[in-house]
Amino acid sequence: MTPTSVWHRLDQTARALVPGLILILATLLSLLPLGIPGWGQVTPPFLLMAIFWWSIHRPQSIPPSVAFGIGLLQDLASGAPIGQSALLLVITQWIISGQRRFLAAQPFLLVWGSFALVTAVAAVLEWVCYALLTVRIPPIESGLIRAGLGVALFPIVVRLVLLPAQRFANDGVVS
Amino acid sequence: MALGKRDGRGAAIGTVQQWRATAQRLSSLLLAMTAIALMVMGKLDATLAERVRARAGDVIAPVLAFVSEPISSANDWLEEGTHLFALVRENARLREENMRLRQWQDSALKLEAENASLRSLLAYKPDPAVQTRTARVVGDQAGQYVRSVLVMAGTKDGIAKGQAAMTGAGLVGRATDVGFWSSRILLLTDLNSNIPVIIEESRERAIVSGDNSDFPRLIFVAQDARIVPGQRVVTSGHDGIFPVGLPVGIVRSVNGNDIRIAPLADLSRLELLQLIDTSMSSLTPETAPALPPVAPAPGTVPRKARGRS
Repeated sequence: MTPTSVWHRLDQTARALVPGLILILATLLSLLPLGIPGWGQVTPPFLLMAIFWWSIHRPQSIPPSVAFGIGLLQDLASGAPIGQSALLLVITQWIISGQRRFLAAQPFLLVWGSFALVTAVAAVLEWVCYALLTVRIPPIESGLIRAGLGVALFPIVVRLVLLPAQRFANDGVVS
Repeated sequence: MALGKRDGRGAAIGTVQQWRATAQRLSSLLLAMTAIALMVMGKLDATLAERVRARAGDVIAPVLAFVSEPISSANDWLEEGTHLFALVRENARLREENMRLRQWQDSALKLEAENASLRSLLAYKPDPAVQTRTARVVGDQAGQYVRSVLVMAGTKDGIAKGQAAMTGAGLVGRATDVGFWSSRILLLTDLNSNIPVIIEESRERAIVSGDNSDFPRLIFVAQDARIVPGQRVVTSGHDGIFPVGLPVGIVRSVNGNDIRIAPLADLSRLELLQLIDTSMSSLTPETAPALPPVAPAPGTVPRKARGRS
């Protein structure tokens, strides 16, 4: 085996790991105490953004089991009902990877719109899950603020993180 | 002939792809059902869910503590930087506050002496002493409908389920899922938080009940109770776990039955928490700081008081 092939292999592995690393980064980002007052209550759904993006552009990197696992991790770390985020992420991955060919060919505005739709549905679904599990009606405002912030930040996160990461993962051209 | 061969292979690849898509769809369905089953199980067996979360916290908390280290130092630098700019104004404010606090201290010392003499007259048996432990917050509130934080302290440090968590200013919540070196603190604003309290002035009993908003409700208030904004609310100790008299909040608004409390602790920005242990095992005279656990910073104690002690 020549050194080049070893490097090539390492390179390939690194690129293949990028989507997973981004998912872990997104999870950490929503858990860490950043010291911004009130941040914890409105943390945008970074994980949902990452799952949404990779389901369109690199579905082979996040099979349903990965979506499930990272959702479970998020639930365990955030104190949410165990299985709630896992369910949301698996459903998101399922629906989006079914539409990926269509979405990949659309202009960004439409992708953004789809993300807004997914986020809104996820917020409502999360609210329903919580209401069913606690047999109470929690106020939905904070969920909607969170979703709104997520939709507003989506283009920035895509431009600064997801798109460069996707290019790096796919062909090594870092823009 | 060659064409036929290629066609065959194409068809085979097509079948494989189709098969793979079906398998993936099936696994999605299975995983979604597993997630639902987990949620239902967590609801049915709350103790098991609590144990699982506590164990998971033990794994996650050190990771978060490690990753958050540079963030908290960066925040400290930032804070120091901003403080440098506002030093003169801050100094004037602190001098003014110091003067006010000295007056308070004088009256506190007087009251303490008076209290001691009255207690000796009555042969009063004081409340069991408490032990406090300080824990760093490593996990912020992340769940959409859960108001809780993860701290780096667990059974190893003597933390037990139900213990009160405070900042210097007031009550924050109580420990729920306690692992070996990590615990989850359910904030008093959470939907599942209910804390028995009394109104400090009138000694009326009530419950501070969270509803996920910033200002929890005061419920189970007696019909004839006179509650007005500005009154202080402290723990009553009726649950048998919390000590009596921990400051909780100030009555913020009264609209008929809808009475709201503004927590004294700043829940939007938690860094260090004090966990209060009232268990009998910790009752040794050496470990008995007075409540509330406020230690004066060095240099802020007036000379007069230093001389006295």
